[in-house]
Amino acid sequence: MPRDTTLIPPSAAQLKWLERRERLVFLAFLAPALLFLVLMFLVPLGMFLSQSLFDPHFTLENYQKAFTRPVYMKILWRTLVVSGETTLICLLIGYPVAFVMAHGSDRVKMMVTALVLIPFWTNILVRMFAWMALLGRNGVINRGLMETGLTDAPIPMLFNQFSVTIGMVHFMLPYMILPLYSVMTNIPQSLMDAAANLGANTRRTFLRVYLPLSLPGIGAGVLLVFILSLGFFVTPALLGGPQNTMLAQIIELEINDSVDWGFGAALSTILLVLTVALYALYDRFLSAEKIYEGR
Amino acid sequence: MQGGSRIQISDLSKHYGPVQAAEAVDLDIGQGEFVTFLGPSGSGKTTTLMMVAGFTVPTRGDILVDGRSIVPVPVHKRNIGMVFQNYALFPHMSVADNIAFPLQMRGLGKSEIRERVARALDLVRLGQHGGRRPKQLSGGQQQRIALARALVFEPSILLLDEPLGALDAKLREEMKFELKQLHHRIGATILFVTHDQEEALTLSDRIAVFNDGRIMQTGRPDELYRAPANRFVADFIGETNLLSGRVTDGGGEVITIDAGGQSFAGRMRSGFARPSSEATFTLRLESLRILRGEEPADCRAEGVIEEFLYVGNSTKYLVRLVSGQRLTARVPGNLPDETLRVNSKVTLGWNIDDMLLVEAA
Repeated sequence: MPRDTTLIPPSAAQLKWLERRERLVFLAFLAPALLFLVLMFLVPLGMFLSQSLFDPHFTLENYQKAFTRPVYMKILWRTLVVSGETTLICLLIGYPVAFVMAHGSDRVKMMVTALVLIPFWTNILVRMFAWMALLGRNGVINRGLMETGLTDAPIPMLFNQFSVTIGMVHFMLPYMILPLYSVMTNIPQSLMDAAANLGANTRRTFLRVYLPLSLPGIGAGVLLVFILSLGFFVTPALLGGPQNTMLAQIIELEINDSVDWGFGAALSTILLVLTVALYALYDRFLSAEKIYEGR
Repeated sequence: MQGGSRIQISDLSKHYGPVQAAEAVDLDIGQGEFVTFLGPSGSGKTTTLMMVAGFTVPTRGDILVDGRSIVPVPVHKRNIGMVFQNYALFPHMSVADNIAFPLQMRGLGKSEIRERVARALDLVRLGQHGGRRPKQLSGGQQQRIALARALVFEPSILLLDEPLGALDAKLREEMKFELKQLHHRIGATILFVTHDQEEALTLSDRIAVFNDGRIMQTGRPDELYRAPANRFVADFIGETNLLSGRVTDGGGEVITIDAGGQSFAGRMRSGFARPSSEATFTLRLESLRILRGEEPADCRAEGVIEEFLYVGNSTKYLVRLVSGQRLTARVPGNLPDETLRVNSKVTLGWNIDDMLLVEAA
């Protein structure tokens, strides 16, 4: 007669193996993505960034150059300012749009969502050339202004800070609106009702309840737009003039024209460190858990 | 200690297109009364409450509080306390800040706010929890915080929108006692919305039963239970046997119907039932007795036990009568009778006064 195997209790080793098997399955699921990320991203990035420190021996020369030559500091500062302006304008325009998307009627919601997403799906070059056609010396706007007699000469609207900011805001808006929307849509209406019931008018309901609860969305949108803006290349390159050069353009210049890989890598490292630092800041103060759990 | 307000609701209606969410609701609620709006979902009870709170604008009708219409008054100026279905505590504020919120909106001084928040926390026995966030509290504690927040500004009216719905059964029982005690202590007029007939029966001074946007009956809990005005109320409140049949004798106070070959006699409190028309009686489960030998009874019927359910404090017997009709009887006691089993022959008896006409064509 065969032994009844169900009567033998599983050994500790067997149980341990069962437990571990679960984790191994998850690891197997992740393996292709991890492998790709390490081989195609982390390794090349590390090799590239290390060039800023080794030439071929260890040196801080590249960083010294970046931090002491006024022109690079000026460009870094300008990059921060332009990114900040873009982020602020996006927030001011995007917040009310996200609000309507989150709380409007289904029809309005659908329409606004389409208006936000269609530009989002349009190729960036197409959008930038469209701006050039609009803002140029002989562009649609200038011709319209002159034909109606509002101005005699074309107003310079292209290849300056104005066109760069417009182009960047236009590109970045969905990145502001979508995180805001996803947070706002989860703010229960009952909280606004409760605030009103407890004696708060619309303004105080917004300031004391809605705004704080939408902070994680503001944080995520601001972070996303600011970080994307910091490394933005296409818009300043196409819509900006020489006086509007941003950090990403300089990196491209150093690597493609000057063929100074070490210095290009140093500037890239500065950009990366800045980005990671911003993310850490966000995670520390503005993530949803911090605001809801109060820890 | 705060007094209650009188609330007069007259012809209050809310229509959404062709849908009548509430229709011609009339109710006069006395100072300090505990009134429950009871009904299934979509019956208009919540719509009516929301019109009192100010979140819904009525299509027609008026709401008077102490003689003055509150319909034109915006929500934030109504000064009505409310506990929302899921409490609606502000997740980004501490418990104490939640309770302080209505006081801050009313411009009270810091020291007074601190004092009153402490008192409100003590009232709901959560004095030590002021510094926590709502998420760190249990469901029952959150519920009490919501109560404290709704009471801290001493409103004369308190609205409760299914406040016990999210609690587990044991906690719900505890909170019923707490609510009742609280009502006695603060004396505010309370409007309580629920779909749970037991909550309504245990808590209320009066109950308004809603169905299809209308009030079906208003009365004390025992009135609704013992003398339902119509079939809906009889069926919705408590468990009952509903017996429908053709009227054979509808002359006087006692009418007789024929239901599936079995004759049933019952009381009619008002009106008149035409012979040959359809009529429905209600007979509560606990009004039925299982007769022993020659025990006397106004009415009796023989049958066979089809199934029985032991429910702890009583046993429910489903009895099939000789005529094929089924009646459910509840026999009190925590020890079920061993002689009563499936297929046992029994005789059911009841008083004619317990058989009530609730519907007549």
